[in-house]
Amino acid sequence: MTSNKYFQLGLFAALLLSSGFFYREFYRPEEIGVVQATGRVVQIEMRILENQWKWEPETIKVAAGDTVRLSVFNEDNYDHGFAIDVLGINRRIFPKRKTIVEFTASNKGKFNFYCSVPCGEGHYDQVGFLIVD
Amino acid sequence: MIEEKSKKITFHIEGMHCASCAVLINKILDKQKGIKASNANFGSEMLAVDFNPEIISIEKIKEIVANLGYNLISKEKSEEEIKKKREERIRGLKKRVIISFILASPIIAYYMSVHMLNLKHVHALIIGNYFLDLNWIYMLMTMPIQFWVGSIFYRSAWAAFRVGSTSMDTLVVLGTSTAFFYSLFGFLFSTTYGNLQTLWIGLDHPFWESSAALMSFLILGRYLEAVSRSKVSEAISSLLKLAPTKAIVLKDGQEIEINIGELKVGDIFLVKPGGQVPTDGLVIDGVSSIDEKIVTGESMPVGKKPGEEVIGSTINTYGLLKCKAKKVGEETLLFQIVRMVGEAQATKAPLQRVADYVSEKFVPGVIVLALISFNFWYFVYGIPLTPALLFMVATLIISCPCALGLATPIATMVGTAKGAYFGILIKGGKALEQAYKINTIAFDKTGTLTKGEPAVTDIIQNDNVKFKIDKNYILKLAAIAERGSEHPLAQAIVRKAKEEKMEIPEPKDFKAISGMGVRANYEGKEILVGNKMFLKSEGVEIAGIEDEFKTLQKEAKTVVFVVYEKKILGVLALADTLKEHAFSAIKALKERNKEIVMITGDNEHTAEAISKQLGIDKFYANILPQDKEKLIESLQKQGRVVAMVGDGINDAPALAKSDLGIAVGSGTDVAIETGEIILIKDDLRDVVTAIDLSRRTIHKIWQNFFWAFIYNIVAIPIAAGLHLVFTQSFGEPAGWVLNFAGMLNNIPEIGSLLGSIFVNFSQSALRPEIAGFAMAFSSISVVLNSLLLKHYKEPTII
Repeated sequence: MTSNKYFQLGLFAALLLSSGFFYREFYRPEEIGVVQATGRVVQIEMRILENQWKWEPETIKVAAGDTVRLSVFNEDNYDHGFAIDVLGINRRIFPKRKTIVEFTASNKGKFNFYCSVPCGEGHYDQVGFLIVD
Repeated sequence: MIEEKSKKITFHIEGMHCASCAVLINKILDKQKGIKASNANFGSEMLAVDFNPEIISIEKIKEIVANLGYNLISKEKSEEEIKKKREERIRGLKKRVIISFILASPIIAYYMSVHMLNLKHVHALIIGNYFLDLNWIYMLMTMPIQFWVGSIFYRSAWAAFRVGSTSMDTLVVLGTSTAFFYSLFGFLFSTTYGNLQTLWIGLDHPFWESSAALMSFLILGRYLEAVSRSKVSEAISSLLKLAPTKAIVLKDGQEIEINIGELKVGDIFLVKPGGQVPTDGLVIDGVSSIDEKIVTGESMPVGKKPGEEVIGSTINTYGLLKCKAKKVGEETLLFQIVRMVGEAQATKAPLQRVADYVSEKFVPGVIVLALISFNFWYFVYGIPLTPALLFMVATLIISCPCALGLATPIATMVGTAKGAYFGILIKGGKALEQAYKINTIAFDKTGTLTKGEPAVTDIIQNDNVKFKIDKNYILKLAAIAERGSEHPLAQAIVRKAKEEKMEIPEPKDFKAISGMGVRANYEGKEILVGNKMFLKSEGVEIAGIEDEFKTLQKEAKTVVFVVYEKKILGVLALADTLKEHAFSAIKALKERNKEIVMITGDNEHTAEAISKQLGIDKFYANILPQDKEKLIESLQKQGRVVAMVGDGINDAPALAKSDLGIAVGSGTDVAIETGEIILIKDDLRDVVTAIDLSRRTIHKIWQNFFWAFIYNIVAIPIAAGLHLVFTQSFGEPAGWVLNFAGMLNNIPEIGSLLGSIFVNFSQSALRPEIAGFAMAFSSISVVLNSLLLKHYKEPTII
């Protein structure tokens, strides 16, 4: 019988995931990992300044476990996007209106957020930081 | 114990779309009771089964295969049907291409221009209070592409899955499905529309263009391939001459023309001079010689007299023959050869195509990387499940390059078009993809290396004759005597005389003595032209020219004596001569390190003489048609990749069995039908060009795969977010990133911009706009790279 690739891949996946599981259970430092939601809701108002490709504020600070209600107002007449890779967030921000992005600050650390929708000359500079304590 | 019964049958398989399909059919059939061997072949779309009819019926086999989603069509009666089905398939593909592009082109154009030019995006139509997210439209446009157009790929991937392999279609299905469902869920569940965000966090950046563009390009590739294949078959059918469909039978003393199908065993049929023998039979009256080279490969016509056998479809030369039909229809030698061709095609060893080779290695690699990325983010880095899954999904999406489906078809399309320009018809891209692997080339002799008709090669005068004469005079006398004869040797002599611009007056009292020679009277003197037997019966002594006679015979030449007034003036030697460019073609192939082998049905003498002239080291003589095929097989078993070049009916099974069948365009229908490459100009140098073109095309294909994959390969670890390990420390950019950005800053004008772009890029995983850029660029690179092949020039061979 010829070797079945899917079987081999499945075997590999099982080995990999179980070793990952063991690492998390027994070896991973305490401070790393998901912080349970505390139920505290933090309301943050944010604006994208017209034709400046700039978040206002550029840095937001929350406590770990906070539920963040980020209300982003796009002053431009074209689209932007709000993305934080590590939290799995990638939202389109429509022009001239408010978009609510809600998420839980599940991990401690400093994460960058950026505009995920091509929006012209300042696009690649349109970044900011989320600091979770 | 009862002896097991066995029956062999070949079918045409309809509905195969990938190499895995053939593997699947074989796998399932081999498991059935009563089936000894099953051999499905994707290239020829044929299935050969060896089965016991007492245990399993043909209907049952058909049913099993039908359950897998394929149709079996009996081979014999179905030429028309197969052609119709193929046309239907092409029409179906065309429909898919058109609809796919109508739906996809706005999406492709929009996303490509936005991503490549960094334009300002508008995702929604907003007029006053009216708000429409354009993604609703994109979603509706993409759905039929993904599931209707893409159903072909889903089926192939499923077939590949069932046999445990990963083909190109697996990669396509994996990449586009993840892209599509990622977009669908992300879009529908995003917070903009209701409270579904509890199921799926705020992610609504759809990748419709990935699925739409990929599927459209893939289906275009499939279509181009099918069309280039059918175009060649059209060209071939125009090349084919009509096979004899009529026979003249003798009934109650009357000559009646009937259809070949009505001919029965025992019928008496007539073969007129120059006519084709309708079927296998026995000569009962008349004498002639028959040109059997298309079936047996023998270069000289074979004399026939009552009691001897004739073979269907061979060509009669000068005499009228009355024959009795011995075998008709499926029993004839010709039909058996055709059946052998079918079997050989079906059992041909498959060579893997580049696309499948690449995918087979690539797919498991991608899956492994995706798993590692998930493992790292979820267990090691400790982020929540959904974002960790998203890293994995992004890896899978970016893994399937947009240009994947175009890499092979575009290159082979340019390659086959270029081939056609040089007079080389290539049936489908597959032949082009494999020709470069050839390391051994087997040539048929008669009709391929040689012209297949006798020509005067030597004129030698008898030194014993008292009066000196000119060599040309010998030829002239012979031509005068032979003028009235229809015998091919006679015609060759007359032709030679005409080439020398001689006048050939008409002789008196011409008489042909069958199997011996001719006698004629010119200016009152007697001329005899004939063989040794003729001389004996006329009482002429062979004196003074015996040595020359023996030497010529050793060279496998046919010798005729020219006798004037009972004295031998000299001899003419006739032989099959080489084609114009045979020598230089063989030389060029040897220079390219190809081993040359000659296979012929002709005798050892002739074979040796020809192979010596051409510098061929290895030859096999006296080979019967079925043995030619076996010879090819034994060469293949030695690990060689063998091309067969031939023209005759007897070459057809070998052409089918070989890894690459090259048919000479002047050849027989069967050979042309069987060959994968057809040399229209009948110039053997084109064998070299075909192999060279194939090598160049395969290089292009590999380059295309490089261009198709490179952007994506670079993007994969970024999509998996694995670079962040190096570019970040505790959420801040790593030291070396800032240092490098500082260096970039020193570049005048654009320095600070480059620096900040580098920093920003290094701090995020694969940004969707970069993914879009990769997709667009890979397609453009592939198309442009393929078009470079248009500048291909054929090798110069002297």
